[in-house]
Amino acid sequence: MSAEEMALAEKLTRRRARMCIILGLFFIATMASSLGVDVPTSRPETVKIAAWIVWAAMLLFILATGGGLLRGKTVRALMNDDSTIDNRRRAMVAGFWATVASAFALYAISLFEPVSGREAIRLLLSAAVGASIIGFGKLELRSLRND
Amino acid sequence: MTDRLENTLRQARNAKGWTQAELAERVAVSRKTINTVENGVFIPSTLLALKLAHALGRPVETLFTLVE
Repeated sequence: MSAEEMALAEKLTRRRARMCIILGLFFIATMASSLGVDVPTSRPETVKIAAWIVWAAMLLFILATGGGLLRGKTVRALMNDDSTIDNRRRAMVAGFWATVASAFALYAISLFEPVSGREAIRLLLSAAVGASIIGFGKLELRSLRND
Repeated sequence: MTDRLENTLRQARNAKGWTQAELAERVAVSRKTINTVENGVFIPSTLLALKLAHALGRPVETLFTLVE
């Protein structure tokens, strides 16, 4: 392991953390902008729904793998070492609680307003993925900060 | 009973005159991991604690202590 690989891994880890927060916020904004669309009837609505599905899959992939797949084994290992695994676990716990809170809220809303199955799935998945990925980014940035 | 883990990793590292990155390189982890252990944010695994102790040439119990 060289100093260059260490520096590269740190740079990529910082970039990943920032991207997780930005992409997570964009993901939730995309979901919010298409809230209430059950079956898309126009081209912009179809694009929004398709974009949301692609975002969800991409963010889950980043969360699960940690990214850096095109980098060497050493850099990838440094980007996904002990503290990253711990941060990922904590972020996923946050995602779980966000999903539970959303499920309660959804249940309450459904008593007054009809909610379709597709809408409910999108809301719950957005809460799970959004909270996890943003939480992961924040925890990683905090870990990188020199105190 | 709540136990808290305290560590003297920063002092031990400074005594060697190493940066966080230098210690990280010796135990094959990221500087971020060393930083989080030193700040008490992350409790290292037994394996990592032993690696740190080995790299710093100290018994692991002098690096990590339980505070009741």
